[in-house]
Amino acid sequence: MLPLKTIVEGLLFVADGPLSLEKLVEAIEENISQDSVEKVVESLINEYEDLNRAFTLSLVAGGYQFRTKPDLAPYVLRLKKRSPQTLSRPATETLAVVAYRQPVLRAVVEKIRGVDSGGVIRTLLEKNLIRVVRRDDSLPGRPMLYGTTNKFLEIFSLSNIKDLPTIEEMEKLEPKDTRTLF
Amino acid sequence: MLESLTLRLEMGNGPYEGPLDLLLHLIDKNKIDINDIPMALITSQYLEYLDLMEDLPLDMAGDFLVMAATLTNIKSRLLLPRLDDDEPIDPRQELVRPLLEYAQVQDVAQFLNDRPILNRDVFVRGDLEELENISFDDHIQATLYELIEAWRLLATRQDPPEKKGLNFLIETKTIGQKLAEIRAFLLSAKSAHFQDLAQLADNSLEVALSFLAILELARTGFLRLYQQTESDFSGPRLWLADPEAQNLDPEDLDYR
Repeated sequence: MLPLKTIVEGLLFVADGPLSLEKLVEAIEENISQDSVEKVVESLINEYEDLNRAFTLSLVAGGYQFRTKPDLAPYVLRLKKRSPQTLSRPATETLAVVAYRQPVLRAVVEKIRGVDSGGVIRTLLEKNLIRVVRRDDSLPGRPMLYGTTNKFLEIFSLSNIKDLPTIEEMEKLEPKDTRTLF
Repeated sequence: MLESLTLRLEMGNGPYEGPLDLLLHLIDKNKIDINDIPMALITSQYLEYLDLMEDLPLDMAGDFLVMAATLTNIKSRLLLPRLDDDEPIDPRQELVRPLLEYAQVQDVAQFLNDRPILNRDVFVRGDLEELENISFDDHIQATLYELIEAWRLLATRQDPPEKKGLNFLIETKTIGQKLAEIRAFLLSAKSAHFQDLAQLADNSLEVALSFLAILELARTGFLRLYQQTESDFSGPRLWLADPEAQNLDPEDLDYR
């Protein structure tokens, strides 16, 4: 039988989205433990890293996916004849609030940002970056509570929502004056 | 003071996302301790900025006006004599918490923006066809600020100053000529930004001509217009439409 590493590599190669360990195990179908698959994935990650390839095997949104390195961006964009994905400031700020406060009401987002956010929230919903988690039954009108989606994790290369630094870590990470660089 | 604000506005550091954003900027700029805000100074600078914005038909000005009222209110409460029994509560406290909270949001937003972002910094296999999936009825979500910024960018293109003495009427191209020019450009480039095409123009009249020509080409199905993201104000991107339409010769159309 094929080496486990070859199978895993092949599956990751054809996957059209981040592939979770569960899905890998499911596809391999042998009596195989998730741990052993994880070990193989880890060793693949290291191998590509050592070989200094144009891509990395990254853990995003709870799954593994091949992604090009940032240095390649200008070439890929030319090949695709498209402009880079951009995120407006209102969109990024709103995502920031939703990511840290989820599930969160639109009213809370607006209070924190100090501006009307209905339009931005609608756009983020359409782009599937945030979703309605549930309704708040304790409030009149049962307003919707918003949270981030897997696509949000994919776009920002985060493995998990817990990947986001805590507010305390953030303060250590960044001197205050960098925010004006936005 | 007004001058420096105007300068900053024109330097492109603005526009401010909302009243909190503007306040944080003023606090930073004056190197003020957020816990000890000199209300008179901040309020007057804030109002100066509002004056600057007055000419703009701002929908969002409401948020800014509410904050102006809050600032004035706090300022006046500071001036009122306190009754002896009163707890010495600093009325400025009601500003501090939202400001700190918003500063944190800006930090997180910065953190997110610095991540390796999919389709900006990093890419996955496939999805070369993605462009085809952009739906035609995608609404563009633009804030008034983005529109103002976009207009500012366009308006900075100025015609060369008219020479004194002899004035010649500039011979402008016809729409037909412009159509042919853009068509030729697109046939080789396959796609272009509106601004690329605007660069080809010698004066603003010709930019307007390009604009009309592009609309006409879009109408006849020769090209498609996309605006990819809400903040993509480098202008719409133009793409060649289906190959058959490429045989259509805009010169045949009489727009002269």
